[in-house]
Amino acid sequence: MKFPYPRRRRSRRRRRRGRSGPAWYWKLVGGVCVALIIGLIYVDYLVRSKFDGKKWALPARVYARPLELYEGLPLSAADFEFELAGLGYRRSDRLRRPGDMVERGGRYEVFSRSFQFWDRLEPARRLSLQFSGQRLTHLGSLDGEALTLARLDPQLIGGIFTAHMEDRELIRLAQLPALLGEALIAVEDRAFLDHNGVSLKAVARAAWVNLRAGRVVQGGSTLTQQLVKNFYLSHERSLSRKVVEALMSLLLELHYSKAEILETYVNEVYLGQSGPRAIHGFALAAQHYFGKSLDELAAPQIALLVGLVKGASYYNPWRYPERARQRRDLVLGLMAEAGLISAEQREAAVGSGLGVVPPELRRLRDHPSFIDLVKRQLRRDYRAEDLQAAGLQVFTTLAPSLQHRVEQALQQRIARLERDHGMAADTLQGAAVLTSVGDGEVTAVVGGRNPHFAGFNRALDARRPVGSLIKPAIYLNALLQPQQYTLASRLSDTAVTVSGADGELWQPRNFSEQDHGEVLLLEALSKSYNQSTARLGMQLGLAEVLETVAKLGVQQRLPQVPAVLLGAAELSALDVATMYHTIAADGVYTPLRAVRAVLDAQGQPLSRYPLQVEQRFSSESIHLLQYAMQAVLRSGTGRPVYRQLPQALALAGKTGTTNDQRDSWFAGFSGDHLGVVWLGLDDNGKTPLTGATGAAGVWADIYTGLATRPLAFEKPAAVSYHWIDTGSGLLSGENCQGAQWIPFIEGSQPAQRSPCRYMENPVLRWFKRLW
Amino acid sequence: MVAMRLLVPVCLALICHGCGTLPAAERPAAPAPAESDRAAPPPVPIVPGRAEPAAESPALRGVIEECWAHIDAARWGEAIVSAERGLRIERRSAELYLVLARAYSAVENFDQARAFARQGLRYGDRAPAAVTRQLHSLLEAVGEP
Repeated sequence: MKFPYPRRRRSRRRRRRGRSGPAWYWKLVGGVCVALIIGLIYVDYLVRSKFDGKKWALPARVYARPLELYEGLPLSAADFEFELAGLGYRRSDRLRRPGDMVERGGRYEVFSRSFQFWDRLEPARRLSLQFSGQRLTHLGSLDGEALTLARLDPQLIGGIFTAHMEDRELIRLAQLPALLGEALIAVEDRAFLDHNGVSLKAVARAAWVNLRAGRVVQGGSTLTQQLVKNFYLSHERSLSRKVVEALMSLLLELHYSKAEILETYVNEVYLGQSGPRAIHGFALAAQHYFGKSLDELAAPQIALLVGLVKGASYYNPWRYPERARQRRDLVLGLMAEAGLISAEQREAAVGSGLGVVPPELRRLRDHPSFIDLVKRQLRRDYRAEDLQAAGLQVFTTLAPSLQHRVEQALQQRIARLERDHGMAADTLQGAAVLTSVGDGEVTAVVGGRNPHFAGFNRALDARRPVGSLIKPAIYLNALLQPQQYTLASRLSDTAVTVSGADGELWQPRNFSEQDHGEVLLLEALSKSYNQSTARLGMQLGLAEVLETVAKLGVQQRLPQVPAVLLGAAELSALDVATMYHTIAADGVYTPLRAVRAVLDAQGQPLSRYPLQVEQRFSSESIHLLQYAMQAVLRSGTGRPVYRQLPQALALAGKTGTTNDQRDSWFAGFSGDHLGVVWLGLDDNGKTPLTGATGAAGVWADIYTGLATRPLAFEKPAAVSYHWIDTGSGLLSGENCQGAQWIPFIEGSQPAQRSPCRYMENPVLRWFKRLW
Repeated sequence: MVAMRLLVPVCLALICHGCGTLPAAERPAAPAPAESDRAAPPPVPIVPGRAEPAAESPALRGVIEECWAHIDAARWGEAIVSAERGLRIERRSAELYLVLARAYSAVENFDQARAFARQGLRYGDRAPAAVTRQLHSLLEAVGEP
């Protein structure tokens, strides 16, 4: 059988052979066209998907606690001024607009800013204030309204960024001052409203201007091209990239209005650097350079911002003020040329100061150790990507003036200790945590001697043996059993040997290497005797003591070994703060908090972190413990504290020193504030410091001049005070030698009376001698 | 000698003023300093104190009134937020703990309601009798766990 279609096949073959050249050519052309179309579709998809989708990763903005103002507030005028300076309030001769403050002879007038909080919108107000000593004594409204409580806007203390550290404050085009928008167009792209993304005329004009100037003074890229370059592309300079840029610009103009493009531009443009944080958009740049919102800017300031578009690093007004001034003045000239400002305005502005904020205020007051704590708390409830990109607003508990106080105290005392003790410079490290008493809010965290260094956070992560800081838990455990133990119980402070679970013998010694014989429980704690404490702890039982430690709020499991009684337990400063907060708050456990509330990018509440309380210890036993911890500072190991602080300020605390003086601790509290300080070496080396000579000094520095109320040491109904002979622990009398007035849980006071050796009151004796 | 005679009543007045914060029966004598303590100031006796009464602050009164307005309007969340704001001014206000206990009880968080009611009773001795009474009855209503 013959193949039926040979000719056709042959003719086809002939046809194919005859058209082989052109067919190949058309195929190539066709292929290229298809590739271009696919490429175009892909580029179009890229342009639209990014522009229509979520344009930017907005970092969470982290705020300090707002300062609540009311008459009686413990706050010094100096701390008030520090808070206002952190918020960028301007000294002025009279209140003109929000953000102004006037100070006349100790009286203040403040025009507060409006702010949307998690619970309400706080309006802008004109306030009058007066301080006396360390209290706000007068708060009034200059607008005639009755005012007992006001709240200032909170200080922005940081952000939770992506790896790029881009930050911006989004604004709508309608919020952009018209002068800024028009100046931007006049300087960067005069034909913006006329071109379709690419302007050949602009390229030609720029070439001509640059040629005349002999240097590059004008670019040929339109605003749309600049946006494409920043928004979609890399900063590579090549012809192919220029082609893609032009194509994308045309597509962008095809799909979106000029208003949409300009709005994106003013939020996208890079305008400077604040440490590792990149400043994008005009709104954030206005804050960064001038400490003002956009609508507060004057024409010369607008001109500087517009000038920075060309090169924010090159024209950095702090680093190159002259260069920045020239650029600003050039922009002012272009603005005048375009009729945006008058010739007189231009004349007045040219050569004037740049008006940027002082360099020390230009950086965010970064508190990496505190932000670290905030992140850890938020990570329990939020995904990392939401924290970095969803534009959340996080309201924290940080008190800027207290944070500054703690940073200063730690830095300065550490340097002094190194000098006084002949230690190698820059070796001693430290950490500190400050909380308010009662609500468990963490007001300051310092993770090292360089508080602005975001490295190892010792306040949270350095778990070190706590030494005698553990002792209050042991004594509390004893005082919870008033029929067995009171502050007047006698303990033996002689050599003690304890056998551990593995048969190993443990023989703790006092720090002074001396025995004290029989001592009262009160003295054993206040003078931090190791031998009597170890003996008491073993009598009580390790498991019971550790249970008390856990009830005080220490969540981690501690080793059940006798050495834990003298502080072999390793805790961080934050753990210690949790534990001591329960004691300071009258036996009520409250989880420490660094965050009050979180709002979404639109200002809607997402979560709140409310106060939680749990009464874990009776107020009677805590009263006794607080008495003994006051004795630590009045007559025990913490006495150096009162060389600095006024005797009228009732305080309670405990020193802690570990083996070979590797760790120096102090934890203590007033009626309002609890502070924990650790000092030591990062390599766990020996130091010449004890708790009293090291950390207690830092603690005292923090509390010196701090507006804080004395410990409100209220006697519970079921507690009574009795005169006790400190030698025997038996009842005594007011004028008996060695008598001390000591609290007891009702019914637990000693029944027996010791003989009294009458001691005349020294004041009366002096008085009699006069006559 | 004349100067001495003038000085004595002044000193007497100062001494009396200094002792005036406590009734004579509650007044302790300062113990003699120990040998090793001579360089340090003599220790001041530790005596129980009393926090300033909470109700004296107009700011606190304003917050408490706001709290009750929220409670009356069944805005439990707002009542909690306002009460916490008030506790930052005075942490021993029994009335604010009553607000918290009422609000948490209303949202059926009985653990916290109980805890705040107990906390209020701890500071109840300075509160109006009505507050203490309400704290007791609320604690009774939410019962023991």
